[in-house]
Amino acid sequence: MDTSSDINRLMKQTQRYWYEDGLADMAMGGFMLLLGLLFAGESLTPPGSPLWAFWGMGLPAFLIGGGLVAGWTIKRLKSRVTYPRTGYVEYERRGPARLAWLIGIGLAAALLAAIFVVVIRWSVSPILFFGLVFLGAFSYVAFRVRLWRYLLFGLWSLVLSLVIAPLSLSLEQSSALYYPGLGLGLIALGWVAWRRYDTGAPPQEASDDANA
Amino acid sequence: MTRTPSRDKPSVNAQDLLEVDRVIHEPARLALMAVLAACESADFVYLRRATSMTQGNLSAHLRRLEEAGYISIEKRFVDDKPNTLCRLTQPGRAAFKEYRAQVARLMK
Repeated sequence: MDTSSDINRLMKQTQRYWYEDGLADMAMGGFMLLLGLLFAGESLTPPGSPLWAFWGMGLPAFLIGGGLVAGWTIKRLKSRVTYPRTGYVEYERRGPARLAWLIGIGLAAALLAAIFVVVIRWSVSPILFFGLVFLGAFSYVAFRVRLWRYLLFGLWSLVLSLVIAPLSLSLEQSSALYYPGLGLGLIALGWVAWRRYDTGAPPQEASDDANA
Repeated sequence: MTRTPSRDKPSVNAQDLLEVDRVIHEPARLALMAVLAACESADFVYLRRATSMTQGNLSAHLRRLEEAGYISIEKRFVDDKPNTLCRLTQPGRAAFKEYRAQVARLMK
C-alpha cells in the first residue's frame, strides 16, 4: 500500500462494489423488459383507439414510477442479500456535490434531447441514436469503475440497434424489439455477476461487527 | 572512499518528506482512507473485507483515524445486529487530498 496505483485500485474497487452482485443489472433489465412490453402494447393499438390516451400518460408515468420502484427494489434486495454478507457502502453525496451531479445529469439530458431532434430531422433511425447513447453511457461507466461487462453491454446495445434500424419499423415497433433485447442482455450479465458474487461470498459468510 | 549520489535518482526534498501526514501514511490507514474517500460511508464489514485486516487491527486503525478527526464512527443497529458505520469528515477528505498531492510531488 505504498503506491498511488494501490490507492486507485482500492478506490475503484469501492466504486465498483454497487455493481458487484449484479442485482442492479437484473433490476434494470426487468425495467427494460417492461418498457418493451409497454411499447409493444402501443404498437399494437389501432389508430384512434382510446387506449392512446393511456399510452400517452403511461410512458412518462412508467419511466418515473418504474425508475423509483427499480431503485427501491435494488436497495431492498441489497439490504437483504448483499450487505449482510459483504458489508454496506453508501454512495449518495449530500450538499453541493449532489447538486452539481443533478445539474450535470439535467444538462446531459437536455443535450441528448436536442441531438435527438436533429437526428429525427435527418431521418436517421432513432433506435440507432439510442444505440449510440447507450454505448456511450455504458462505456463511460465501464471505464470509470473498470467493469468491462458494461462495455460489452454497450456494444450489445449498438449491435441490436444496427440490426433493428434497417427493418423500417415505426418507433414503437422498433422500441418493442430494442428494449426487451437490452433488458435480456442486462439480465444475462447481471445473472453471471450474481453467480460469481454468490460463489465468492456465500451466505454463511454473513457476519456482524459486534466486536468493532 | 565516499559514495556520490546517483544523478539518475530524483532529488527528494527532506522537508517534503517530513511534512507527509504520518497518520495517513501508515499503509493500513491509507487503505482505509482510500476506501472511505471513494464513497459517502462504509461499514465495518465492508472495510474489513476491502482491506483484509483482522477485526482487532481494523478497530485500532479506525480509532486512530477517529482521534485524528479524519473519520466519524456511528454505532447503530441494523436488523437487530450491531453495525458500525464510518465516514470521512471534511478535514479527513482535505487531509487525504493533500496527502495524495504531497506524494505526487515527491514522486516527481
